[in-house]
Amino acid sequence: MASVREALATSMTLEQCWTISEIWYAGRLDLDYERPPVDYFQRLLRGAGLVGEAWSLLPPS
Amino acid sequence: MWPVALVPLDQVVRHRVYAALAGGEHAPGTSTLAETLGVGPAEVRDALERLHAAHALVLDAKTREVRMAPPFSNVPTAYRVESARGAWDVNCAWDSLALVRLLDLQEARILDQGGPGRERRVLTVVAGNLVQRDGVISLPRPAWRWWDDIIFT
Repeated sequence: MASVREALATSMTLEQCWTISEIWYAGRLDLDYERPPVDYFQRLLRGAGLVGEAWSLLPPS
Repeated sequence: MWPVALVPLDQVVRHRVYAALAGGEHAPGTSTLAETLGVGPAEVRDALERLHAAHALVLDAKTREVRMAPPFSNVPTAYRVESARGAWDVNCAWDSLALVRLLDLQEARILDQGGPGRERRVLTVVAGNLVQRDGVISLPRPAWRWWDDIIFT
């Protein structure tokens, strides 16, 4: 069971999710699959206000 | 981080899977893909495994057939997107919004059947805009652990 802090840290608002989804998914259906760099998606999350350890795509050092 | 080299057959398989799911159908199985593409089942299985390793698709742990092609789900879930163009099972709340964007649905209903600690809810998309913006999507683990078990996530 996650702590309250962990639960809060791993939540996003619908607004944030809607914004990220537009940037990430719009127009991608016909693209050949190419795994984007980790830092691209990280910047996307950060741009939506999702920062902190819980939102890091790389494990903590 | 995902050191898997995909080959041309993998892209073709992926396209076939996504085309079926986007059309509101189930993902084709291994034998159907093999017959359709004129290759052996083993080649299709290898392609699916590479796509799974690359996080491009998610295979069922037992059957090794397609379980998820994010944002699409190949199995019924608590989340569903409905529009005049069709209806789709999706993996989670995030994927519900993602599917709307992916298919550029201008009008849609996003259905969350609810679950433990989560109420049933309907979101609507009108003229390409999400009408209801209040609410929170919670993920059960930090981002760097999502793919430890993406189905659980």
